[in-house]
Amino acid sequence: MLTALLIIARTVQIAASILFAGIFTFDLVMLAPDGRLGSGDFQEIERRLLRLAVWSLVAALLSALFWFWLEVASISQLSLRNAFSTAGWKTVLFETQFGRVWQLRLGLIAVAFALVAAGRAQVKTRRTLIPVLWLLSVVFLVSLAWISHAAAARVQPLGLLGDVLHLCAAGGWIGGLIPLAIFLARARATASLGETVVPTLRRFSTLSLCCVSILIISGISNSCLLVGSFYALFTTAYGRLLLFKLVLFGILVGFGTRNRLAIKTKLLKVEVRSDLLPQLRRTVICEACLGAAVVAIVACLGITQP
Amino acid sequence: MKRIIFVFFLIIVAGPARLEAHAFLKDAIPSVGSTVQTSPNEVRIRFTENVEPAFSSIQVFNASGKEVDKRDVRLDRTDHALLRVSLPSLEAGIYKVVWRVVSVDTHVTSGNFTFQVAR
Repeated sequence: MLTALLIIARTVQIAASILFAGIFTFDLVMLAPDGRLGSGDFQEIERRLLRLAVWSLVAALLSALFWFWLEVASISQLSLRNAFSTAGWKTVLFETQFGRVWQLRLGLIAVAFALVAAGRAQVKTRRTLIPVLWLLSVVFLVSLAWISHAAAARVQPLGLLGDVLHLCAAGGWIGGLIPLAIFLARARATASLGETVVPTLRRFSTLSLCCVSILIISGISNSCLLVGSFYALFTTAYGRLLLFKLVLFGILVGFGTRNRLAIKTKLLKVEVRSDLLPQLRRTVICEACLGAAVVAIVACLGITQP
Repeated sequence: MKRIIFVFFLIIVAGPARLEAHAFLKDAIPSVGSTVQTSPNEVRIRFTENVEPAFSSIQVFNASGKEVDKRDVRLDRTDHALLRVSLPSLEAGIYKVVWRVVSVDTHVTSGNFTFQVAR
């Protein structure tokens, strides 16, 4: 029971962190260079992205509190009901690495809420706030590395470095899929965004390619450290879960490649065709769903002995 | 860039051994199942990874099940994977060491072993 709840809490927490980082990476890298940020369409997209950021923060806060509660019960060997009736939660929060990371994450969530609220309220200050929020979202995402298997390793800084790179790449690619779907929905709805679709997709495609490369390299590094041997990939629960993750990752890369080669090349060759945008959006949403499945496997890996 | 990737791969392939990702007993003094001639001053257990002192414990029991350690479990100042507990002067006999630790990635592990004082 506790294990199942931990997997749920971890999945939501990791997914929310990846999405939060992806939103501001998308805003900063995909939207900003076009220089049309004053236009109503871009403001509308940013408004939707900020609303999505609020929901991702809500999910991050609730799952952080839930995960903390479960960890207090697990570490202190208390029932869930008694986990907060003793001083156990104080000891976990102030005397463990997990607790210190949680203090940082909860603090970042509070600051992020304030900044996102300010960005939603004042369009003028949004341009200044987006880079700050991007930086904050990256710190928020990579802080997960300090409570991962890699953090416990005595082989440092390679363990942490691999995890940090892996998380950053996931944030840039997987986290950017929902914002991309929002952008495509708006591009389909309004003709004024037509000329910006191709450059935005090109930038996202290039970023995705870089992120996939980093995911592969850091994934190999992490696997070598945690699994140890090729044989263990097939004989341990951790290895089999990792193989399942690799299969899903392969399908994800396949989707991405299809997008890059098939749909985007068509978009680049001819005028932006309205029928291609919904098709592309559907594929992007499928990618995002697969990404969520990969995150759920990552949550399972986090509680499985390598 | 190619050089950096090459060096990174070299580190991965030729570098570290496998991580355990849960803290397990690596070595202990007195050793697991050993016989010592004189009463040890303390039990020291080194784990495969760093542990959280607030939730880690070592207890030493004599043959009749009475706890005989000084209940002062502490983490080594320089090595955060080394846990220690002091012992009074022990009489000859078999002693059971029971440990429970929480690694920094919050995984809980436990175990036990025995040693014998021959004196």
